[in-house]
Amino acid sequence: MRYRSLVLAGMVLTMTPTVFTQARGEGPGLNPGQGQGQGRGGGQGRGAAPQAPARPAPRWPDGQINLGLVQGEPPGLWEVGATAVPLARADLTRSREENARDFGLFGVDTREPTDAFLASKPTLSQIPFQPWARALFANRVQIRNEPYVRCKPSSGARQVATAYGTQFVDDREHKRFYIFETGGAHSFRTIFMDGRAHPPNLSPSNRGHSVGHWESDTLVVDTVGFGERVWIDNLGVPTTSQLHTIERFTRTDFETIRYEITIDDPGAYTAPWKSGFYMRWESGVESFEFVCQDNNQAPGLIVGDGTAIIEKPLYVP
Amino acid sequence: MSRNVRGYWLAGLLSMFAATPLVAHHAVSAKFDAAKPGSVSGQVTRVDWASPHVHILMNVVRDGRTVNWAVELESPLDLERSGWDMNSLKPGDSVTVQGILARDGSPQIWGNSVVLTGTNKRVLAMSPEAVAALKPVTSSTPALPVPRWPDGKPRLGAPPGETGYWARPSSTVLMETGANVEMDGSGLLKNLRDASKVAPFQPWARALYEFRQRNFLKADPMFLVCIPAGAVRQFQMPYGNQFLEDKTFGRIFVMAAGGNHDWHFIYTDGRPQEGELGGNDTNPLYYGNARGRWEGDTFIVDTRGLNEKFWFSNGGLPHTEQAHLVERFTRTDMNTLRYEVTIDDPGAYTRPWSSGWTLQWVAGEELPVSYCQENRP
Repeated sequence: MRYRSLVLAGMVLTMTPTVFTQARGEGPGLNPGQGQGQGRGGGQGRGAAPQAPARPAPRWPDGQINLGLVQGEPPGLWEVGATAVPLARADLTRSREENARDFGLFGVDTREPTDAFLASKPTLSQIPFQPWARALFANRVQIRNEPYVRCKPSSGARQVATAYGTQFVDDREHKRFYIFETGGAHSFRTIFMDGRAHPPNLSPSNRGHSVGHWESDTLVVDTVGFGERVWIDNLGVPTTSQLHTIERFTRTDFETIRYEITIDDPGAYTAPWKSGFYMRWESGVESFEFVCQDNNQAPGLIVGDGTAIIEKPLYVP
Repeated sequence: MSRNVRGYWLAGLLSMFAATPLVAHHAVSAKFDAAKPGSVSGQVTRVDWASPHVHILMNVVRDGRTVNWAVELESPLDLERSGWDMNSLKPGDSVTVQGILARDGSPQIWGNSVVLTGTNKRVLAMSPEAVAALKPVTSSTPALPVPRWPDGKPRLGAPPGETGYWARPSSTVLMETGANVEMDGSGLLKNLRDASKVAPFQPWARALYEFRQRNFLKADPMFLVCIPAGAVRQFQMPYGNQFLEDKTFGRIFVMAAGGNHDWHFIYTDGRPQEGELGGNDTNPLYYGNARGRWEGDTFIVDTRGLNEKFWFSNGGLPHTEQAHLVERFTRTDMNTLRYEVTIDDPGAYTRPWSSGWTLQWVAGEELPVSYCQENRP
C-alpha cells in the first residue's frame, strides 16, 4: 500500500541508518511512491550534473528573487537528503573506523565534496565546541534520540530539511515569509519581514523568533529565543538558549537554494561557526497531510508508561 | 493525616466553587477529580515550562518520606499572557498549592492556586485579561466592513499590511443546532441522559460517546498523543487559526495556533477529492480532502476522506470514514466569521445534522504558537 510504504520510508529517513555506511546514496529521493524515484534529493556530494544548463532563479515582477512556486510552472517542493542535513561532515583524512566513532549511529556521507561550498562545511575538529558540548555531541550520535523522531517541531537547519519537502511562501502583502514542512511535525515557521526587532524577554521555544530581510538576492533570517531541548540538525550539535542563528537562503538557479547557517552560541561554542547545504527543487510534487504522531514507533515514543522508552515522562500526561 | 497533605474541609468547600480550572484546553477532569480537593506544601524541584500545560515538580515530605509531586497549571501561553514566565518560580522556592487531586491517587494535583511560603504571594495565576483573551468580546463600536480582494471576494485573512487571526469561538462544544443540552466548556455533559439530544446518533455511536463521557474524556487523542484537532474541532480551538489565501495557486493554507501548530490545504483549483499523496491514493486524513468554492460571499468547503481516529469535538463525538462535511464560512464584517457545518455520516448518525458558531477576528496580533508535544518525553 502506497501510504504504508511512504510511512516506512519516512521512518527510514527520520531514523537514519543504524549502521555506518560508506558513501550512502540518497536512495529513491524523498517521495517514493510518487513515481519521482530519480528525484535529485539534494545529497551532499551527489555527482551527476544536470543535463541541461540550469534555468535562472525565478523573480517577482519587481525583480526580487522568488523562493516559492512560479506561476505557469508545476508545483514543487524543496528537498534536502538526510545525509546532506548534518552541519558537520566527515573528515576524509580520518579512517572509516575513526569516522564511525565520530558519528556513532549516524550514516555519515563520506564522499568527496563536489564544490567549494560543500567543502567548506566543517569537520568535527573544525567546529569550536566547548568541551561539554563536544561530550554531549558524542553522546547524541551514539543514542540518536533526535527530537524530530518523537514528533517535536525541529529547529534551525533541521526545520528547512524535513522529509517529503518544505515549501516557502512569500506573503509579500503582509510582509511575512512562511516555511511549511511536510514531514516531521508538519508545522510551519513564520519569519517577520516587516523590519521589526526581536521582542525582549522571549520565552524559549522550539523555533525561536525569526525576522528576515533581503540582501541583494539572498534572504537573510535572524533567529533568537531557542529552547535548550532543540536540535538544529539531525546529528545533534548542541545549542543553548543563547543560540543566535543567521540563515542565508540564496536561490542560485531555478532548482537550487544554497542554505548557509551561522551558529553563534557562546553557551556551547568558543566562536561563531558556519555550515550549510544545498536544497533541491523537486518539481511536480505537492505537500500532503503528514501526522508523525499517527503511528510513531520511534524509540522514545512521545507518550508512554515509562517502561519502553528512553526518556521517562516526568508525569503522566 | 499528614501535616502537609490535607484534604481539609474548609478549603475543600471553598475550592468546590472554584474547582473547575479557568480555561484548561482539555478536560482536566480526565485526570483530576473536582470532588477531591487537596493541598500540598513543599519545595520546588523543577519548573517544566512547556505546552500544553506548565508543570511544577515539588518535594513534599509526608510521614518522614519525601514524595515528588507534579503540579499541573495552565498553558505557558496563558501564563505568559498573565505576566509570568519560566523564572517566576524557581527550584528551591517553597510553595503551598491548593487544587484538586488526581483520580488515580498518583502524586499529582491540578493547581488552582500556588502561594509562596513566607511572603504569601500568589504566583502563576491567570490574570482576568488572559482569561478574557480567550472569550468572545462584545464591542459597542460598529465593525468595519468585510475586507475584499480586488476581484470582490471577501478576504478570509488580514487586509494588506495588517495582521490578525480567527479565535474566540462563540461555542467551544459541538451539538446539533437547536439542541438544548447543558455541558461545560470542555464538552462534558451535565447529565449523561442528555447524550441522545446532542446529535442524531446511531446506537453504537451514542454508546461510544457515552463511554467517552463516563471516562471524563480521558481517551481524547488530541491530548494524549497530540494528534491534530482534525476537521470541525479545529475551529473551536482556543488559540485560533489563520487563513493564508494563495489565490495564484488555488489553495488556502489553514494554519492552527495550538494543538500541534499544524496546517493543511483547502484546494480551490477544482481538483477532484482524491488523496493528497498523489495519484489515486485515498488514505483517510485528519483534515480530509477539502475542496473550497465561493457562493456569493460564502466560502463553501466540501470535505471527504476523513479518518476515524480523531474526535469531532472535545466532548468525544465519533464519526466514520463515510463522513462528508459541508462547511460554510461567511465573513459578515471585519471582525466576524460565521461558521456552519453539516455533518453527513451514515456510518455514525441516522441523518445529516448541522451546527454552527462564530469566530472573532483578533486584530493586530500574531497567531500564537503552541505545541502539544512539547512536554512529552
